[in-house]
Amino acid sequence: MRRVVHVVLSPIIAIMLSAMLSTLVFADPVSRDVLDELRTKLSLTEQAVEEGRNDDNQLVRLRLDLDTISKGLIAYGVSFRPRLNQINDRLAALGNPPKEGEPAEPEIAIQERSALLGEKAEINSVLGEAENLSIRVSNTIDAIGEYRRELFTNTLLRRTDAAGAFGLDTLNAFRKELYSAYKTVISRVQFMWNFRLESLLIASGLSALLGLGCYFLIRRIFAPAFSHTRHVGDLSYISRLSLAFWSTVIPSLGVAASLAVVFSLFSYFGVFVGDSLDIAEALLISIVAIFFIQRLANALFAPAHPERRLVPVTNGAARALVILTVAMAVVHILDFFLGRLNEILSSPLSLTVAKSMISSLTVSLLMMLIVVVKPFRDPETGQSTDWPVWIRFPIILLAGFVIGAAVSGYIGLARFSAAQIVVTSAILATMYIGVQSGQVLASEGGLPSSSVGSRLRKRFSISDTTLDQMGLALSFAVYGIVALIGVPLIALQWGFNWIDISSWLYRILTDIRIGSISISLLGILFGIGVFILGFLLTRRFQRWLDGSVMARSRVDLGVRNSIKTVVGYAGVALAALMALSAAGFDLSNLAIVAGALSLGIGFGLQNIVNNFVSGLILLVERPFKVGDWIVAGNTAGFVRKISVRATEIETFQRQTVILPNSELINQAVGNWTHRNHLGRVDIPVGVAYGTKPRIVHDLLMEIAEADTAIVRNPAPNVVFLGFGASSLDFELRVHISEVLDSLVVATRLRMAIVEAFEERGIEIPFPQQDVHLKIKDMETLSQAISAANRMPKRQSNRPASGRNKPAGG
Amino acid sequence: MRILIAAIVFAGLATTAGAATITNMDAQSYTLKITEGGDQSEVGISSGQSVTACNSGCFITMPNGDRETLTGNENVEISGGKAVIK
Repeated sequence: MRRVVHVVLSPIIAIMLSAMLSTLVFADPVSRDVLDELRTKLSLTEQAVEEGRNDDNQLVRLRLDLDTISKGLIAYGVSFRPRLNQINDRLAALGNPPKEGEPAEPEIAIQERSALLGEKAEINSVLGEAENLSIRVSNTIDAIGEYRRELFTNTLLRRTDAAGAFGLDTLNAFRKELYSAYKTVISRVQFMWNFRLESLLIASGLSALLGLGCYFLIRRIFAPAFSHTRHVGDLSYISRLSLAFWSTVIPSLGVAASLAVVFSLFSYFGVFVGDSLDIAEALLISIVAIFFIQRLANALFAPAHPERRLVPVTNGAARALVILTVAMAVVHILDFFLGRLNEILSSPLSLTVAKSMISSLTVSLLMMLIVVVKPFRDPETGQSTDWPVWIRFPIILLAGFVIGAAVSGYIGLARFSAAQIVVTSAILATMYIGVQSGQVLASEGGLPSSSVGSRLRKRFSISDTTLDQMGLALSFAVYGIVALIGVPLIALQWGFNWIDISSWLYRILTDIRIGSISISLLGILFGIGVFILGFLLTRRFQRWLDGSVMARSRVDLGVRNSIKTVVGYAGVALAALMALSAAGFDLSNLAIVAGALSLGIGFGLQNIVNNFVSGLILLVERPFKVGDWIVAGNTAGFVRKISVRATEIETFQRQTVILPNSELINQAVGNWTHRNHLGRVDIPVGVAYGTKPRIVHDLLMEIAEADTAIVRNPAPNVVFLGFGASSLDFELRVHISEVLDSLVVATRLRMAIVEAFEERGIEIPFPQQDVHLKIKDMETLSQAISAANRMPKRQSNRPASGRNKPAGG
Repeated sequence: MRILIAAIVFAGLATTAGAATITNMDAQSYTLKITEGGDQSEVGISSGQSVTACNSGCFITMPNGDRETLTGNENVEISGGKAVIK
């Protein structure tokens, strides 16, 4: 707890110190007070480092102090900058002292210059001292690292007389220790009971209330997430995982929060102070840790609920494994708690040795037992099988190593290894759950099939494909979080400290060097972020411009489209440039890229550039707009989209044709709907010879005037085209306001014409031909025919369609 | 909105990242004495060249003997042997 307070307070102190420094320095430009203060602090710290070189925790704390001093020195140095700038400006204004032969300057200038130079020299010397102090700070930091390494190896490789530690003395010492721990706490409680009953009662009452309230609140809020009744039958892996996660994290958080509340209340009301506070803190951490491990083991193996089990082991094995792993955790945490007790009560070394020996041997014994468990069942024979070799062998090896170290007297090494095994495997187990959940999320249909997925789908009406993609992205996030939390935790376990880890992380994120190139992941991510932001802003601006501004100003659809497209491209280009410069690329390099590109354009890219420029011309000139009916070469259809490289045309058969823009610029393009949608429909019609042309003309005009779709101006007209082979050829020409309706109108007109002609008895002829037969036995044939039936000689030339009309009508 | 927040966070991180850039605007070369994290080093900087140094605060001695303290995000230009910190 003290360390936490320390970590939190250090930066605040540093900030306050620097603020104080700056005010001090402005009041008196060359104040040495702060420097002296820092120097004294440094000396004290150096002394403390030498004295506490055997206490790892103390060294870590001092290291943080040194960081604060180092920051203080920099802040102190920086605080002179304004004054230095002033002095330099003033000196520049005064100019150089006159050389020999030049006219002398006034006395006041000489005095000011010398005063300024003096002050500057003093600042320089003070800064020099600060610089030397900073070197001392960093030397001390190095020394701390050296001491900690030594300490580490010493603890691990020191041989202790293990046999001597087991005796009556040790037992007595243990009893004494427990007794004194008990007394420390109880005497404190007694003292409170006798003299400060009020505080004790308030603290106990409040903590009971708040702690329970806290616990039940969290349980209540999250109860639906892991209730027993809701999940019946087979569960999907992702539901099992989320169940495991919530049933581990939430109750643990509940317990931790309620105990933390109790603890802080007790310390606030002064129920525990000094040693008893430390003991209470150790107890609290132990309880939370045991609770967490127990929940985790239950979540992984779920002995009572095979359908929720994350690791596919048999029921019996699950029960055994939960007991064994929890026992291992309890042993380890008990070891930690007693160790703290030893430290707090400064118990004899033999006690520590005995305790470490027992705990490490117990842990290795439990590991051996875990190996003995037969967790799996052979699907064919139905017999239980062992762990696979790659799990069994390392566990046996590790357990053997711990036992060997403990028996041969390397108690420190044995204890360290046992502790590492327990804690590292707990972290690895948690990471395993994380990685598994990531894998499930990444698998196809992982998220959509989960209950979270279906809830998301319902709430935000997201499609399955989007959900699937979200699952993939989410899985990457899960992997990232698992790595970001798990790896530093393991590194911390193995003796690295936060400062190292954070500086590595910082370096990985900001400065990966490959040769002389330095890559900043953070910069690249930032660049991507800027691009996405720019892109979204562009889209938003486009929508606003199109929907709010241009739509309301009644701007022509084509112009709207062009402006929208141009704004879109400009925005994306701008966002890309901004992203590049944000990612740390030098934009002047773009000139080189452009140079290379212009060469490339000369060879291979000319087509693309041609189309690109054509596209820009199309957008500016607007020979057609989206929705127009155009004819370009062999392609006719509606324009669907004008891009910068190509234009999409949808033909009447619904085929989409992507036409490169250069073709639309270089060849003639017909546009049916360019300025207006007026179009002409021509309907040729022939009437039989003998019909009066004027009647036909009037009839056709009547029909045209009766149709509402036909415009009056230009007026419809009938053209007498000529004398055809078998008919008098007319053509009805009408204009319609919507050229797209031409087929409908033409059909309607043709029908009306046929109906009107039938009514008036006007015939629409088809081509007729006389056929003369020249046959030798003409007479015999004609007799035979006239004998068969007395039919007229002339026969009509019937068409294949089988229309049955009398010839010549 | 989330993207905006993320971008702002990135911006914050990115601005804290980075070292001081020292550029020599003069025609002649200089040697700077830089003390950073207890290491003293002499850095040569030729005319028109830029060097990056000082990731987490350093003391620096300019060619004209002036001492400066940098926190690590400054742009320093040397002209006429003097440092101009921006």
